[in-house]
Amino acid sequence: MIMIKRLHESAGVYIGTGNKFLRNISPEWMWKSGTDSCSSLRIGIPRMFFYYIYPGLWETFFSELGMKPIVSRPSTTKTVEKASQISETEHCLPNKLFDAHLAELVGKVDMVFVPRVLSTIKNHLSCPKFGPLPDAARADIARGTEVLSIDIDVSRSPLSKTLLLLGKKLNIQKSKTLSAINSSFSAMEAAHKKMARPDRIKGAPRFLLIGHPYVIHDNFIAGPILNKLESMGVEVELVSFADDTPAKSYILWSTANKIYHEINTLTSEDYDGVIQLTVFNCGCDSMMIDTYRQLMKDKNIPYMYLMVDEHLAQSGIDTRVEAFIDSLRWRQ
Amino acid sequence: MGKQMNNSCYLGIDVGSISTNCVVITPEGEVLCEIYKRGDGHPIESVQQCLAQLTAQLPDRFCIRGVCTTGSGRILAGAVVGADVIKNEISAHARATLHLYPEVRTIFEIGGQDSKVTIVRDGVVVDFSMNLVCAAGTGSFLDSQARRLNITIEELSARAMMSETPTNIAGRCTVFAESDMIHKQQVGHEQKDITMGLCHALVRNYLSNVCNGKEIKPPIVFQGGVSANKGIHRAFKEALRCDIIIPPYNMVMGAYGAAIIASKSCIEKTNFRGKEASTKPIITKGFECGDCPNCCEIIEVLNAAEIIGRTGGRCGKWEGKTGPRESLRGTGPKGHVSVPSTGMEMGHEICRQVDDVPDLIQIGVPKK
Repeated sequence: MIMIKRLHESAGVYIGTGNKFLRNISPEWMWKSGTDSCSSLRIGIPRMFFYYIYPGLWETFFSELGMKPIVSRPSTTKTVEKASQISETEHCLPNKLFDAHLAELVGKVDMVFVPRVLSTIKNHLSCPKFGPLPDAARADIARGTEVLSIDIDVSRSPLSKTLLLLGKKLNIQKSKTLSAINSSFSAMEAAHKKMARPDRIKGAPRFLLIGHPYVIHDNFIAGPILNKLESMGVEVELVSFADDTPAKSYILWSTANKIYHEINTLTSEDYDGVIQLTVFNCGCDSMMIDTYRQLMKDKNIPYMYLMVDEHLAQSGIDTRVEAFIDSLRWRQ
Repeated sequence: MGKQMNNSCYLGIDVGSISTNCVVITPEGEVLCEIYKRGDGHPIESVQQCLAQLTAQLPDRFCIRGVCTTGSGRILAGAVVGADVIKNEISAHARATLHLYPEVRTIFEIGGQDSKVTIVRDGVVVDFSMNLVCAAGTGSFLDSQARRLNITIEELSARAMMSETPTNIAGRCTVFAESDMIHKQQVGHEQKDITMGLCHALVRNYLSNVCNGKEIKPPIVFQGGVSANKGIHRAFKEALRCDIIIPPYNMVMGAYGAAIIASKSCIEKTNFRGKEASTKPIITKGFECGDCPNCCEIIEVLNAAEIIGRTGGRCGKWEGKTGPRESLRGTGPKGHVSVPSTGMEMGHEICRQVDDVPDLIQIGVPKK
């Protein structure tokens, strides 16, 4: 608490004029008092978008730098309620949830971390919704709280260089940042493994769930569907985004390209079915659904997509999932 | 033994958004009685009324040996009547159609809130699709437009058949269709042409949204509540330029399929609560679970004081359980359902979740 007090005293413009502070003043002074004050600095990470795109990376990175990473709770109905109060109505569900996650952190942390994710694979693009996230956070939800941001544009500079720059921005010794990068990369690798593949149950039908990482790993969006599949005795694997090499395809979106790359190598022996989880008004997915469907048809793998929105109708989802599994049983 | 076999029959109940249907069949699949009842938003009462009507219609010598419920209200209905099998409506519809038309390759099913297409090849369901969040291509679209034209849905069907030059109406969205329809009325189009235009709009919408990317091959069977509308039947025939079969029992195919599923399920002793289910008042009571931040609204189905079923939770710990409420509280997953995590969840040494963190103390500088 002492540190926060000092922080506020030394920067008179801090409270209430967070935007100005962020643009003009380098946060150098925060570290002048040495590592002790660093360690008490709490950095908030919203559990959405980049949290799932780079799983495990941010917590490890900031913690290695001597900060206290704090992550918002997994999405629940409460998060959705909050989102509908504060967020823009035209946003997609994950974007709404992002705003709610951010709002949950505001008032609990010294600064929030919202990077501008422009590209995650070389020469490929991210969803254009990610571009204005930091600005939107500063202007609206996180007004008055410091928003730490960095441009992640792998097409221009690799992720490790970006992280180095982030360390520099925070006025951290280069050697310390470098070791933090190393350990956070290995943490991300471990997290990717943990997130994708469950232990294999012999004889159970095996499904692959595809979709944006922040959709298929979100507790509110994917939870009920995974629960339903599990209760029907189906084993579900979540598509992995660990591999960074882009597929040679015309698809310019990084997530879609990774999914395409993953399912392009499948054979009908690998999975009994592929389910795509998509959110209402996702432009990228609406373009890709047909491509995936055609690809799966050529490979003779049953394919279904489920579209969800905030008024997630459980009975509609149940009907589709049950009918899909029924149709597979009929095939055999 | 033989006599008993002759007297056994199976009941299928389809609780949809607009109607509740019951069908009773013999073990051979012959329909003994069918009931179509337009509901008024009280699914339990509708099911009970159907059952009462059924007991009146069905000769006493028949004995129900198995019950299957289907439709969007299948779980609630299943708890009320004591169903042996609860099946989704897509499978139920396909089952009924395949029983009547083994050679069918495409099934169109348009109901009150849902519209579906099922693709069948060699007697096996290979693909299906269902409308998404919007109800533009379903029966409720026609219902609301008929109300807007101030005619009944039956009249709409009859008038559409008289039309020779249908009006072109935008059918992508109910709201657009309505404003377009008002415009066409103001311009002076005849009502019969507008109603046929609506049918075309619905069919166009259905074919472009629900059937998108599907191989529509004849024989095509069209069923569900909307299949009673001759205008839609005509619009389908004109759009696809082939014959569209409307099966017998087209309005109650879901219930018929459910009855077939019940008859094929090898039920030894039925859970069917019989006449009792239709006479005793059944009430539902909602309460908030509150074990996790999802705060699910759980519905308890009560027969007098006895709990006969529960529905409505996201995690599944309440589903179908009849034990006392307190014994189930605190069990099961607490909000964090089975999504594989990053391994950095609660209790991890380097990362803390926001709920363990106290609020920042705001000190000092007043806002300008």
